[in-house]
Amino acid sequence: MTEEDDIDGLAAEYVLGSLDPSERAAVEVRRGSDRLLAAAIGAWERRLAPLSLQAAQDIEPPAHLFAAILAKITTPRPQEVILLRRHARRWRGIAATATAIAACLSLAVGWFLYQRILEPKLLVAELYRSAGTSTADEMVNPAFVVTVDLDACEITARPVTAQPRPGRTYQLWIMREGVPAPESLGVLSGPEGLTAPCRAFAPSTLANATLAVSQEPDGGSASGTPSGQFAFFGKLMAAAHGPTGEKSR
Amino acid sequence: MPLSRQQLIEALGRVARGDQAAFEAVYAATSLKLYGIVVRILGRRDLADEILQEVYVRVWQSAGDYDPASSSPITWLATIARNRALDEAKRKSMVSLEDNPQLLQLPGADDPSANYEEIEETRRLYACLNELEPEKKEIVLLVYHYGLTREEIARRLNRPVPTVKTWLRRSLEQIKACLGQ
Repeated sequence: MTEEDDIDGLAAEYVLGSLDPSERAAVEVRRGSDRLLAAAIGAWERRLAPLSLQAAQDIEPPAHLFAAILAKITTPRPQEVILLRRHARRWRGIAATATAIAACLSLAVGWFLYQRILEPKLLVAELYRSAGTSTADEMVNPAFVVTVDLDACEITARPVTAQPRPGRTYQLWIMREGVPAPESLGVLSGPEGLTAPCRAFAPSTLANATLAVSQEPDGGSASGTPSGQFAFFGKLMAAAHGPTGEKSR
Repeated sequence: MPLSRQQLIEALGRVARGDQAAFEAVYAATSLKLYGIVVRILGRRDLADEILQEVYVRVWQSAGDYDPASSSPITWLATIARNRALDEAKRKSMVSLEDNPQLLQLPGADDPSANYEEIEETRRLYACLNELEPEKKEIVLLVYHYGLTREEIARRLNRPVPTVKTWLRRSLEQIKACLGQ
């Protein structure tokens, strides 16, 4: 078998779908620099494409999906998330200081601050590793940043230092006061993270809720509960300003 | 709303320049097909919902990479959807083509979305598939439609993995030779 035959066979199996996940990932990396492999993949995609188009039944996707997609293509890019994170950190510091001052000041000032915390527009959580060994990056930066935009009723989670693991998926959970079991917010399946509506949760139960991320088989927990111990934790706290980045709404 | 091949090419061009209205038109024209592809591979609607969102985010980000000279726009879009779903696929339970007999059938001539060229390409491909031994044809279709790995096929057929790999490679070589491309 010549090398060219082998590349063509590899491309054919990649397009057919018979490679295991690690082989598949390796091909996806290699095709970026191996023009022969990339060309062979393109040729096989064209050869077999009629199968996909012919056999797929048209299925109407849920009506809300397009709005979710629009939100994703207009949400902050990674550098904006970092700015948002700094923003959140600053406001969290201010909130902590304000709380200390409030303990000493008059009831009126305390009531004012209480109102600010009680009716936030934006909640932010930074999730840090709680299980396993932290890398140097993980020790100073969160694994994930989660924002809850209460005006838009949208929960957005983005990985910062968290790295994907082959065959495993990160799943985000929320633990609210008075709710006995963790509730899934969805699967963080890629660098774009996840966006979910917040309408299932009363705003008052989101502030100070604890967020956690578990590692699950691909596709997420089949049982609806976390499979093992949580790997990352963080607490939702009020920030004062809405998220950066334009919204489509 | 259906778009002709040329309209879809033009809409993707506008998407590449950041035109959200064109993006919506592309979504309206193609999301039923792509969702169908993703649902079939993943078998779970909730997961398919997430993957379809990722597919269209990718379309938004990489519409400028689409080359009309290389493939039809729907082929390009379907390839993105299929690849993303295959990356995600883990379900792969004991699926059977007997449960989905339409996967073995030729496309209907009354499919309004298919043009003559696409129908001919499909007929040629099925003619070549029909030259394979029935068991090998079924394996090729099962892998393509459900993303079964060599190991999963080997377990189903109680055959060594290297044998399955050889079967797949030979079947694919045979298809390539038959298509003459």
